[in-house]
Amino acid sequence: MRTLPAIAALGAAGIACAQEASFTPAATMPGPGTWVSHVMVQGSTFFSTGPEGVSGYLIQENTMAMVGLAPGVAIEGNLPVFNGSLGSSDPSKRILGTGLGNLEVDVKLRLLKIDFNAIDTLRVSATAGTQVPTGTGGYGADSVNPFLGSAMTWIAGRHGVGLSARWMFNTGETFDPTFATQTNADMLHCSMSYLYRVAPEEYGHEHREAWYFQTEMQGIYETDGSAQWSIGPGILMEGTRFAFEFAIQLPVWESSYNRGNSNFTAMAGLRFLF
Amino acid sequence: MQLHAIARAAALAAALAAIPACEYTQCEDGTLVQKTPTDLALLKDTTPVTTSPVLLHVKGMSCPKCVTNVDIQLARIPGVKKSSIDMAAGAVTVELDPAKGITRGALAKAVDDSGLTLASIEGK
Repeated sequence: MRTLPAIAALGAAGIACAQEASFTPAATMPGPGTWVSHVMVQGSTFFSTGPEGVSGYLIQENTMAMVGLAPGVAIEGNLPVFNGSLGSSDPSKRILGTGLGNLEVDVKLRLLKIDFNAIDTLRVSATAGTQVPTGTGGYGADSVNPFLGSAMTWIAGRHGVGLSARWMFNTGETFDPTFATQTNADMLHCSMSYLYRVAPEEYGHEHREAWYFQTEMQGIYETDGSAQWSIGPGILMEGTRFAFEFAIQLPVWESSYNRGNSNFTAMAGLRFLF
Repeated sequence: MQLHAIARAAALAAALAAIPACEYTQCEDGTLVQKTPTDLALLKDTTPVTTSPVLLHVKGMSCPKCVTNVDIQLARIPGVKKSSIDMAAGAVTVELDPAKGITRGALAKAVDDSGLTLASIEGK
């Protein structure tokens, strides 16, 4: 059932400040002493393709926080909570009820900043962190899994492009587990986003809020051969101190056998800056 | 296995942390210039601001929440009363109490801390 890690990874989107799509971490970060929090709730349905496959639903709630430590340096954390009903002919793959996922903590460093004019900017950052085995109820891995990542954010007028990649060094030993992060396979998670600022057409004194249409593409590859590719649209409303988002993800391609295949994922989120 | 992977990740993280951040801004002729000693000197400028309001020309204000970062950093300077922002113009107008001895460097640091680029300060 290696779709689940994908869902978990998708849920672990970033919490930067700028024009950031729902599932693609941005390269931006808050200033020293400034906090950003991000709460996301997403629901996914799964269907079974084999005798040992998994079907059912999974609801994931991510509570994330980021604080700036110094100019160009921030620390962020994410603790997911799951509720699911996943059935399978294999009893070891059945999940029912609520549980914690793995805590993730990482440090984000700015590598590159180019501010072209009042609006346009290009940022590149790197992240280094770890997944801590806090999972309960079958929702988390049993190992400390460090990861490294990088993100790029390019904003040009009404257009925003985000690219992100993260490599997780999986230190788990379990075979054929519920989550991929419980295996000994490393995982690469890549995502790409495009945001178009629907309104306002031009910023000004009177325009401190913005609406965006977003589309995202995500890919996950594990070194045991599992892979998943998904795509989906969304909207983002950004104010000065908060943002609201809604997005869906649809599977495009999955290399899965005897496990749950994701049907549909819908997500709503709120972000706060304080 | 676990220790080995953690050591690999830690070594890579340390290598990343050793890379200094590169910061550039674009000139009017389109060329990119790296953060100059003049920019750094501005951060250390202890000249007090004697007039209000002061106009800051800022680059990289790409979204509403980015801009709020500037508001937050400026509001932490004792003596700053209010800041208002015109994103399209890249203009941040700061109303302050000149008697508080706010320095140009403090204003520059607030913009720098917010992750944006200060192009210039208008006002004495």
